[in-house]
Amino acid sequence: MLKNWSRRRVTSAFHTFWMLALVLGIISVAAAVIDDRSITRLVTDFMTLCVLVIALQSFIGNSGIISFGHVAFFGIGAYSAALLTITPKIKAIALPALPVYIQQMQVSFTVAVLMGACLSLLVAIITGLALSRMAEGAMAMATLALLVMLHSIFANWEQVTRGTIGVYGIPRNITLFNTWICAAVVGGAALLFKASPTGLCLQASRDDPLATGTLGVSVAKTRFAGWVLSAILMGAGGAMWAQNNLAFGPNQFYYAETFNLLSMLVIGGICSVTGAIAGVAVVTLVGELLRGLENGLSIGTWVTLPELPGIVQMSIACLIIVVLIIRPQGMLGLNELSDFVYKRRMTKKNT
Amino acid sequence: MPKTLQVKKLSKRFSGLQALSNVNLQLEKEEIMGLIGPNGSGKTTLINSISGVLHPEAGSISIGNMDVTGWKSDKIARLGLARTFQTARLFFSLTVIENLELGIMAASRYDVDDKVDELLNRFGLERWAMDRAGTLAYGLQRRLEIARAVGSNPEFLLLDEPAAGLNEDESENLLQLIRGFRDPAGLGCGILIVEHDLAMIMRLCDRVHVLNEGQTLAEGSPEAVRSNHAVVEAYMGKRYTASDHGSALT
Ligand SMILES: Nc1ncnc2c1ncn2[C@@H]1O[C@H](COP(=O)(O)OP(=O)(O)OP(=O)(O)O)[C@@H](O)[C@H]1O
Ligand SMILES: [Mg+2]
Repeated sequence: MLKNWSRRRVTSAFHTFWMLALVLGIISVAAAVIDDRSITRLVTDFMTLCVLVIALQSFIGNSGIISFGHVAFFGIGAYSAALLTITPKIKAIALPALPVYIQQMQVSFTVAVLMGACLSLLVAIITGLALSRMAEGAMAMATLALLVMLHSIFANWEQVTRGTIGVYGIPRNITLFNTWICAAVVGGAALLFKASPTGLCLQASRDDPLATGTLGVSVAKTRFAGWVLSAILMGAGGAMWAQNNLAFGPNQFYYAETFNLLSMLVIGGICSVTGAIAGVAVVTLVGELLRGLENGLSIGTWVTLPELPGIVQMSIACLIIVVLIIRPQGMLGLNELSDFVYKRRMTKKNT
Repeated sequence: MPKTLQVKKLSKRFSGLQALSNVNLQLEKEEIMGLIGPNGSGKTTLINSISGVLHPEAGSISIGNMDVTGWKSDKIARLGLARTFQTARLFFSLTVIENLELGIMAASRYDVDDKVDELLNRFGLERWAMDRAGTLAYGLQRRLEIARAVGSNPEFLLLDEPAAGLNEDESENLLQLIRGFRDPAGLGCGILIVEHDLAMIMRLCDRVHVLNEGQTLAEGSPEAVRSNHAVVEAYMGKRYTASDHGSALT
């Protein structure tokens, strides 16, 4: 099996990996140095979003099939982290119907992230067996159905999720260090998958599923693999997110979040892991810059800007349109960070 | 015993249209068979049926002693059958190297990087190695598609109009390549080639199979087919006037 791995592509994935990990590391260290609560919060939010959008990228980007259902895995990760990290005391009050062994369990950040990933994996295997056999359009619609299904489970399984009231009391286990590690590991996993034979086959099926089949590649199996992998990453991201947000309800894993994550991916570049991170960065920055405007602004005593609720949302929507017009494949297009270095070297050799 | 590709009594309908009816065909290894016929006679449909892209209603297809009728295309490909398409179907967003890697994948018995280098070299594609397939000139795209198809060292190779749109030099080059695939010292492939340029068919093929409106009109050596009146009638009738018959097939 290892025979089909290309050293070339693994090497270039590794180059991208260390550069991205370095950039994210610098951001974390800078935040640690500044040591300001709102900056730290901004950075942990950013890293968590990076994990979620990278997870989304690893399926949508490689397969070319849009998924509206990944936020369901996000929710699975978040709820499993909640159930596993809330103190037994709070669980006894808020979730008395839980089985005793879960009620008394309290695990660390890492274990919660791994469990979130595992639970997502289980659901992804069951749903993926059916989904991966569908045609592209049908599969996209089925992912939407998955989102709705999981949402009704989150909203109605009151013994476990407290229904629409939501869960609370999750310890804030997240740190600048562990979010950075998670973002780097998930980014590395997505890059490695993209460089793997299966990842390449999935990208081929994005361009031409029929031709991919005639080369001896089972498109359904390949899509299944991509689906499962990205669900694992999404579940891990959800578990991180829960330990950053402390309380949440089922409506946080629905359309709004789906479009939020998709918009970041589209802006950055669907086909690129670097693009996923760039998209999160751009949307985060735009959000931060315009947040002030949303609440109104006074410059001196003379100029007063009115409150502009919704300006952030609207700007991001405009940004999507502009990006789609200028660069339909997103800011990074088909490129990863290493491509810029690598390509220049190749052209030099040829001239 | 060398493998053969055998097609028996194959029929395929598209709603009201009988695209293939009762076609029999046998392709040996180290043999080049030409598949000719007027536009719409079912040549592409035959290749699609053999490669598992389409599933015929009746008839059987076997490779060696395996009955592959109704199999999916990926399973058939893993048995050693490769094909190209009438209009190149490359992975346009992937690089030349990646396209070639995908061709090798089914065989899974090579070191991918070494095999890719060998293919780049053999097909003269080194200069474009890192380019995306979608940015290549048309002739190069066709060459890349063939390189991708032979990457897995297939036992049978189906080529759907590989020379269409190529200039004279490129066609000549292609002809040499195809002869090389057949050569037992090379791949030792059995090759089925669809081609409208009859001069090329006559030079290249050991046998020629003629389709017309989904039915086999004739099969035999290039010379025999060339002098078959029914073939001249059907095949040329649509393109040339009667007075051209004599010269059309020379
Ligand atoms: N998917 C399809 N659906 C309906 N009809 C089809 C389909 N594919 C082919 N046909 C019809 O079947 C007949 C045979 O088509 P086919 O493409 O096999 O011909 P061909 O011999 O390859 O022609 P050409 O020389 O133009 O490539 C044609 O009449 C065509 O219109
Ligand atoms: Mg055709």
